[in-house]
Amino acid sequence: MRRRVTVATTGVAVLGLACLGVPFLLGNYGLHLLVLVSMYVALSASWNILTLAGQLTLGHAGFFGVGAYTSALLALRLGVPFPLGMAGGAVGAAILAAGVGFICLRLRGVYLAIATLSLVEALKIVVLNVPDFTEGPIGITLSPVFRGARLPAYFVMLGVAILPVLATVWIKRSKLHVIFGSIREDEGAAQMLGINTTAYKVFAFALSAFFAGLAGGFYPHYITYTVPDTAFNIGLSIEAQIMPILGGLYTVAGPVVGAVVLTLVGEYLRTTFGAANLLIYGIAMVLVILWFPDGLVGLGRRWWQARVPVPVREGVADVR
Amino acid sequence: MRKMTMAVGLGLLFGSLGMVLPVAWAAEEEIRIGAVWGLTGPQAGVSQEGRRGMEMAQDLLNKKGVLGRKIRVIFEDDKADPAVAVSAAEKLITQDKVVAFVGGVGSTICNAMLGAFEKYTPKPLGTLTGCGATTIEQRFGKERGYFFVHPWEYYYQTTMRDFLLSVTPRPQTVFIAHEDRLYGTSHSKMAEEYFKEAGFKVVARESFKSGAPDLTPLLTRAKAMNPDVFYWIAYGADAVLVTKQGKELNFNPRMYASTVQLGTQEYRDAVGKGNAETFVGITVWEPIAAFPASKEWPEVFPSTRDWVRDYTTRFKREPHYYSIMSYVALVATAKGIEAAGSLERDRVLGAMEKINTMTPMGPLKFSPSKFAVNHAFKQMMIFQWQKGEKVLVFPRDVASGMLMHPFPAWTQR
Repeated sequence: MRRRVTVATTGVAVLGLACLGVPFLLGNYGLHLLVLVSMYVALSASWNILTLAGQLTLGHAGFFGVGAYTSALLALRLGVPFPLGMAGGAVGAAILAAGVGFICLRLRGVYLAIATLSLVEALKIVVLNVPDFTEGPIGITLSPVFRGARLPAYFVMLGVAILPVLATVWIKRSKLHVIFGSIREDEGAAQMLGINTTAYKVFAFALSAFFAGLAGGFYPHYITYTVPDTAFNIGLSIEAQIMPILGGLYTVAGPVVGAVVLTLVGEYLRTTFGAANLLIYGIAMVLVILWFPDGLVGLGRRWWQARVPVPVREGVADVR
Repeated sequence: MRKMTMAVGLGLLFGSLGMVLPVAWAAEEEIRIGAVWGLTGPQAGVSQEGRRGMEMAQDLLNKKGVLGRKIRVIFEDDKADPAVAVSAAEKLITQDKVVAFVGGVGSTICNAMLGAFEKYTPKPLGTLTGCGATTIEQRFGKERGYFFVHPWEYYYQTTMRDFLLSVTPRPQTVFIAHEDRLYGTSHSKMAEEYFKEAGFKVVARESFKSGAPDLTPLLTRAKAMNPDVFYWIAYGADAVLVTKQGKELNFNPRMYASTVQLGTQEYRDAVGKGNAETFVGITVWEPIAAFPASKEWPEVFPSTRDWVRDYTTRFKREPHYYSIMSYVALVATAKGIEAAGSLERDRVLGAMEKINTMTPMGPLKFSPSKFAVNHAFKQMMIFQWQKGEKVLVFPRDVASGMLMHPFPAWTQR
């Protein structure tokens, strides 16, 4: 056990040093990729929070978009600096999630997924149809944050990415872990035990949306332009879902591993295989998910355990 | 463990050398041009057309070379995603060390990519094909190093206005329908403004969702208003639906008019024989245009007929306007480099500003537009479907036939 803790601590320390040191060695291209990796870590780790409570949603693009538009509109209409705009975007997304969640989270499984998918489309239509306020389909143009410098932008997005990961650690170390786990395994039984499942699900939904909104809040300032089609892009919901699945659901490291691998592999394939990149990407993903259903983290764990057997104590339930 | 560490180390070393050395050797020999296109995703069709045009130009230029060197176009796929477009542009600048950017499609992509260029001093040189939105003209047009070859949005609508003014008997009322995204909304606003200024009565301007399965409510309202012109601004699939449902409802304005998407062979085939007859559309360029060869560079800018023949022979398909636009953009950039006698940015852009020649796409001369310093191809054309073929009907100096007007009622066809 001690050896396992030591390895984990060393791994986190090395990763931390790499995150802080490596960017200074990179040019604009590498830094931009790191910004994208961080953004996807934020999205996938925040979506993973929902899965801890057993909720399958496809609305992440909606919360990202609300964050993006709140932040962009605050800057455009009121001249609010981007850090405050990001906070505004995160709070806006969380409030929306709490409101929508209160209604939608009575649904389960695929019905919840469809409802949240519709939410993304509905939000996009709203933004498109109030052009006097949102600029509609014309979009919003903003000045580049840090005058386009990539290094400070990376550190901002790295901070955004770390927050949902820390939140996942906190959940796993608190009683929320058991509560979320019980809701995930059997919601009816959890209610029978006196757990207010709706309240906890809404909390998970709002917390998850907060981080997605925070990432969204930075995006238009970084790309310098946003339109409803890119801010409320359903592809983001799909990617936020695939990354934790590939990395390893319900784990702390899974969404991070999934986001890093998929973003960098996707970029490698794009620059190497031209128009065939999506086909290879799709096939590779299907094979990985088929062969490693518990994700890359699960694969790594099995590989490690095969070399360093960990004694299992009988009578301890696996609550993951 | 030691073996594994050594293998990984050697792998990284050779991998790094493999990436760095070819770049270093090749840099001396070739002139690198960056081309960011949406080769996969929703812009793939148009982007592949653009790619074909650039490949043709590259091969032709490399027969003689430019400054004694080969031109090499490095294509990058932006997947129609602004963040990926920025990745592609940063890679081309920092790793591939391109001399200039040529091509591209999509105003959202263009906005993101040119936004990423802002931090560079000097900014990269660009001959840009896909940046037609006025927001781009306003934001980036003042930069001398950007040469825009796609007509701005307002040129579409001033062309349509001038065409309607030329029609006899002159139409009085116009119903404008548009898809609800950037393209349709932005164009329709300008159309309304210009039409009203010219004395037309715009009876309505209504939006619809692109890709909607049913446009009957919109067309029924339009029919009730009985406009002289039903003008819709949307994409290809919407054009098919408007035509089919207009026929079903027996909606007979004196003229059906639309924008470039009406001009594809796919549209004509999808609506069925004769149903596109007399419909008019705006176009940037058509293969039936008849521009003569360039006096200065006839080997790369032959007549339209010869260029279309060469393109069709090579690719076994008719060229799209993005094919010729990207072809002209790359050749113009190469000619700028050649005239400058070096790859120095300011000298190249100075030489490009002096280009004044005929091309298979029309006269090429960069001059100021409303907000931009360097813009070419301001004149657009109007075509009409006649007996299953496109005929250019406006402006008069490029027309290949007479306008058939008014639109014959569906029941009389």
